Amino acid sequence: MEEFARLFLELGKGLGITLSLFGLTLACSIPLGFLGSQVSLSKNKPIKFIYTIYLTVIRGTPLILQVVFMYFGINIILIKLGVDPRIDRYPAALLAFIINYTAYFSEIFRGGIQSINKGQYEAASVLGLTKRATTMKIVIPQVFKIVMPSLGNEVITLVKDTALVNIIAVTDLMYLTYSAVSRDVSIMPLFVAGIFYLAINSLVSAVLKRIEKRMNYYRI
Amino acid sequence: MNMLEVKHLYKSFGTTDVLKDVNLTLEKGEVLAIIGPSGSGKSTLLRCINCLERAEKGDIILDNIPIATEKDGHTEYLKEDELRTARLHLGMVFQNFNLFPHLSVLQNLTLAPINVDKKDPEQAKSEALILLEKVGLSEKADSYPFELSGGQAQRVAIARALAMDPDMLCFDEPTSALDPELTGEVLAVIKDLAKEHMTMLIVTHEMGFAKEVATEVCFMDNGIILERGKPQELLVNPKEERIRSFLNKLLSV
Ligand SMILES: Nc1ncnc2c1ncn2[C@@H]1O[C@H](COP(=O)(O)OP(=O)(O)OP(=O)(O)O)[C@@H](O)[C@H]1O
Ligand SMILES: [Mg+2]
Repeated sequence: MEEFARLFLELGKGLGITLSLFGLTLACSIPLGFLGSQVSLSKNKPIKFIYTIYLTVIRGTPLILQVVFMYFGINIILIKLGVDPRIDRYPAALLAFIINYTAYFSEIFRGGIQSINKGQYEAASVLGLTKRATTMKIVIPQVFKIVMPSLGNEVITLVKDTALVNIIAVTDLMYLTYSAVSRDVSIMPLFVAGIFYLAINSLVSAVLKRIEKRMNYYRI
Repeated sequence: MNMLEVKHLYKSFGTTDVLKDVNLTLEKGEVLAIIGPSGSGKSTLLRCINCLERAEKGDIILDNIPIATEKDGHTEYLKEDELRTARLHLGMVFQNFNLFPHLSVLQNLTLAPINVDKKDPEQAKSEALILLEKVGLSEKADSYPFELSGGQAQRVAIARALAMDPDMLCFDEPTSALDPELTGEVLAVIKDLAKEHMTMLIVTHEMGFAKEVATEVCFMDNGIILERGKPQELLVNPKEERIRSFLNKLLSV
């Protein structure tokens, strides 16, 4: 029991990084993903082409590879170029996550936007709403309701994905867990970490459920 | 005074000419019904007038504002912002209502007045309530579209169009998506508008209704307006054989 409490405090120190990685990734990727969906749906062929390459590469390669690239890869390139500023572990991890999750959110939003009835745009247009007003007042609220279940899945996955950053020695929950396991030769840290992840995800699920419920007042 | 003037309108989709040479004038206070077989271009005409589709040739003049003008063989429209403003003279009611599902009935009505006309929200709200009363749906102000019957939804859609205080209303088969027993309540609202001399352009398959409310009727066929006349003449005694067979077919259904 004492060991449990000790581990709880020790591993808890990694929570800050895990949670900030989770929170910052979401806060950046959701708006960026929405902007990205607008690129996907735009008529600008060259930009769309480049964007499709980004989507293909990011969604077609492992996140862990992208994290490693963002830290080691970029730093190797920076050294080869003789540039002094290096990218640190945490920013590298965060950047990799944002780039990765933006791609997934972007595709989710694209699907959501495409599923909105053409009549909604026409009604907005005959009422004189600008494109911007149509997006803000008509499209976004409906898209959020439509994509909420898929968005929720990604958010839950993100909580677990944050554990990948220990590969570049970011001292998150998983990193500390791994250290504790190899130091104590005990499986206890694994249970403690499991409890932490489960707790975070229960909280996240509860929040998601509330949001979905709050959007239940109408049907599309 | 002409509310709407359409001159030599031409529009194609790919290789099909949908509107070939449509000419149409509508005076203030007039109610013009457009009838005709499926695929004859009725909806496309309405959509061109509402700028939901762009005509390729011809002119559209709305309330003396040339919104589309043919130059060197193809039609140019006003710039986006000017077009948006000019088009506010025109309201449109769709076959499928196209209410905004995430907004309450009241919010459906006040959205454009608040966002486009920059009306004071309280003012917009009280005006919206008056309109809802007019279409007999005061008690539905706080309902959401999924809670309405088709007839109620269409009446809300009409009120929503009226909330922008248009000079003219277009209807594209306003009762076609409704169960037969619900068409009456929608047609009654349109009849009331006709009594108030609202200028209206109505595509419809309801011949009885056209006869009753329209000041004139157009028969559209194959991308042109084949004949135009008083409802009593065109619907009872059409000159064109084509119209006679169309009407007979309708009767025999
Ligand atoms: N967006 C489009 N793309 C291609 N073809 C179209 C499009 N819209 C309409 N058409 C074609 O244009 C023709 C006229 O269509 P329109 O919808 O104007 O007819 P309508 O008179 O309203 O018929 P209905 O009584 O069935 O509503 C049809 O042949 C239709 O297939
Ligand atoms: Mg039609």
